[in-house]
Amino acid sequence: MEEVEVEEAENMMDGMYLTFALGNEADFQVYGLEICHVIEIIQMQRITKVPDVDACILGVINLRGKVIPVVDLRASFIMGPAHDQVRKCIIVVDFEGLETGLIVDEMRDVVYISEENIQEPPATRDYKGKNFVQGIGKLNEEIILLLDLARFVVSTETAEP
Amino acid sequence: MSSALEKGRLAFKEEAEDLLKVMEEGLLELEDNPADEAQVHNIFRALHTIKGSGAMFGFTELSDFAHHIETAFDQVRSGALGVTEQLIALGLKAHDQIQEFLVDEGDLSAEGQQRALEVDQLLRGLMEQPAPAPQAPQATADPSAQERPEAKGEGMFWVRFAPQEDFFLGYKPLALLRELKELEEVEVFPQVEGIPHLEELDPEVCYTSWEVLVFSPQGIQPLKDVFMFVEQACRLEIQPIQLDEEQDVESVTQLGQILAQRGAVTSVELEKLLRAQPKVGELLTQSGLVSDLQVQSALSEQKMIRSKQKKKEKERDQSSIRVPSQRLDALVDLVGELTTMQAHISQIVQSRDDPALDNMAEGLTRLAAELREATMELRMLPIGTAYSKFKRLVRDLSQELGKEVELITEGETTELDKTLIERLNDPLVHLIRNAIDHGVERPEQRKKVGKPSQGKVSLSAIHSGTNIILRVADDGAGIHKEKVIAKAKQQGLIEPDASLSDSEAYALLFHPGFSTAEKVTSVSGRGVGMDVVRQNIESLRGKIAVESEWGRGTTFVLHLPLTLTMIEGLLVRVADCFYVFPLATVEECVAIHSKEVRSVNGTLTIKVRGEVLPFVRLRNLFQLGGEPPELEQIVIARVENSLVGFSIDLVIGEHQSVIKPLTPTIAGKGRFSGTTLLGDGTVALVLNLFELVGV
Repeated sequence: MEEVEVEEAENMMDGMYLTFALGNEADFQVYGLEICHVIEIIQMQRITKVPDVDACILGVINLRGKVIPVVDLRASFIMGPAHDQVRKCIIVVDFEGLETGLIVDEMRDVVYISEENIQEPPATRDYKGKNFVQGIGKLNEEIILLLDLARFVVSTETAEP
Repeated sequence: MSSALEKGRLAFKEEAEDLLKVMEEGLLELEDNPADEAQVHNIFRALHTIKGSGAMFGFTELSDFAHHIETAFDQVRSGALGVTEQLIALGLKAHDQIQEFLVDEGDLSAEGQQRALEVDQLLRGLMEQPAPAPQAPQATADPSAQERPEAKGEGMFWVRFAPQEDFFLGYKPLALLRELKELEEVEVFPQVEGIPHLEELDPEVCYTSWEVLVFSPQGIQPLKDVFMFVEQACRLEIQPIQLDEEQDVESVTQLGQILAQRGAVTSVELEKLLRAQPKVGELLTQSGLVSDLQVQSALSEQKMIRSKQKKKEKERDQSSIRVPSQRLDALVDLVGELTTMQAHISQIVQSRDDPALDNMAEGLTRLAAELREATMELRMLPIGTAYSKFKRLVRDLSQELGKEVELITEGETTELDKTLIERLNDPLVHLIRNAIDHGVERPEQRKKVGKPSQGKVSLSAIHSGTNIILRVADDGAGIHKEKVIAKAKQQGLIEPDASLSDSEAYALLFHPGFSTAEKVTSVSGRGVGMDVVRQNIESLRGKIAVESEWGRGTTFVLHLPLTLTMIEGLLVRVADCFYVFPLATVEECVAIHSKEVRSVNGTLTIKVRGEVLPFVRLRNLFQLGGEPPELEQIVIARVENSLVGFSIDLVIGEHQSVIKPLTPTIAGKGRFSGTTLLGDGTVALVLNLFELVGV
């Protein structure tokens, strides 16, 4: 019984994406995360810096007693610091048992993108050697870059071959 | 239904594992001392239980197999079969076989079955041998076993120590008594009747004699050793006191008997009195036969014997409850959360200024601390539980490699966290293997250099503050420093013209891929290993070091924390970040004016009470920016064996730190051993000082 329910739930989550934006009001890009990895969305909070780690990892936060790392997506995409801090929040994701917070500029929506509307990312464009995008979704003429979580969550050292 | 049976099978497997351990220990013990009948009984009982419960839970093959070896030990019990090397070797084989049965749940592979059959055949062969009628160990065992239990094993002793009058010339009776006190349990009764009135007292004369009750786990020898040098100058009697296990606690050695045994009254006198009245002690005193003090001491002896007896019974009853370790882990986690929550409450209460709340918060703090301690204790196990495995390892390895090695263990009762014990197993196995393979020489070689042909590998554990120190030592050839350096040069690990100190050279041993063994054996020599050992130890927040003397032997010293989940810490602040020093490393906190910091060859140093210490500014080390205040707060901590000063902004105070591990993404360079939560939910980083100063 239970297993069937879980399977159904997983099926229901197929094709569902949580979208958010990085940038400012005039110039932004929408990104999407597979919703099955998302645990919750929390407000920005005090981040404890951890020396020695990759620059895109801002530090750690206390999530109800659990200490989890937070990744600054802006830094990952080598964007400058944002002007608007108000709408910033943290998306907590679970990838293969590792919980990680992702800092984004603005939350958008949960959307459904059917498979035929998702394209492979262009092979020629490589973001600084790290391919963060696993697909490009189209929804009502808007382009949504679908992120490959493995690139953020697993430490950069272990991710590189 | 089926799940109930499944549970039963599981419980049986766990029980059988324990019994197998008993069996193995018994066999190894028997090998050293074939006359030890108690071990034969232990082994037999273990096998009997395995056989019985095995059959009950459907391990038929196992049960059949255990039956044969059980029969063999039954024959040993009755004296029909002698304890021979062959029997022990077979017993150990059978032990492994039963283990295999357990692992495979009765479905043995074809080879497994073949092996089981072989052991079985051998057993039968052994039993069919004509029983050597007056079997040597069995026959001689009886009288010696009767006489010697107290000479070898633990026991209670009554010591009467009456120094001669001139004893003070050259000896100190108190020093001797103090030495006695270091034995496990001691009760001293000074006999002071001999002391004259003050005006007649000669301070140079020793008037006092002593009666001492000692419980000595190592038998009589250590007692004799204490008095070794004063035997000429005193009257000394040491008598063993029989602890008869079969006897009922209450009927243990009557008071009168004790006094009679000591010769304070004769049995005849005693007999007379006994017939008259029941209260022997009072009567004896009244009748003036013995002094009050003597009765007092005898009473104490009675008490001590009873408590010992009770303790023995308790030990028998002390069989424990089995709890899956995940539940313990969950409990530890919860207690950790509670500790954090309690710290938060205390912080809020402090700002309220409400005495009633204050009281409650204080009570809560105390309770939480006790709960924390009790929970941590649940996870503590004596390291001795791991030792028995190593005994077997040493036996098998030394036979395989044609060496004679004895394993000496110390500190079995030292307790440490269960997870630690489990995770220490692999590194320790590796170190012991190394010690036997590379360390201890072959018997011929050992004789040539004038060592006894049997080598020694010793394993010891002691507490030191919140750390535990494990030593794996051998008395073998030691590390040939030049050879290590040559090999390292050959492998390109160091510059061809490098000159290294001893410790630098030994550190090469932990380099990945390094091995000096000239030939690769099945045991070691492939150069994988020592670096893995180091990694293992470091992942437990520990340290490993080598000491060696060419020709004398090698010692590996492991420093480990007692537990992985909680430490006592010193909380400090630097800029707006919080850090925790393990309190055990902190020596003191001082303040120093910035002008007093000197730079020597690029290294900052400070002078504290005339001593020059290296100095690290955490602000710079962690690139936190900002300027240090003029009067810098310094935490002086012990790293390795030297002191280092760490500059911080503010010492906040002691902090019970529940350590949460860093996920691999943020483990960084290992300069932090984890994180911990403060009362208000802020995350603080726990410093790993070893990595911090880069030793």
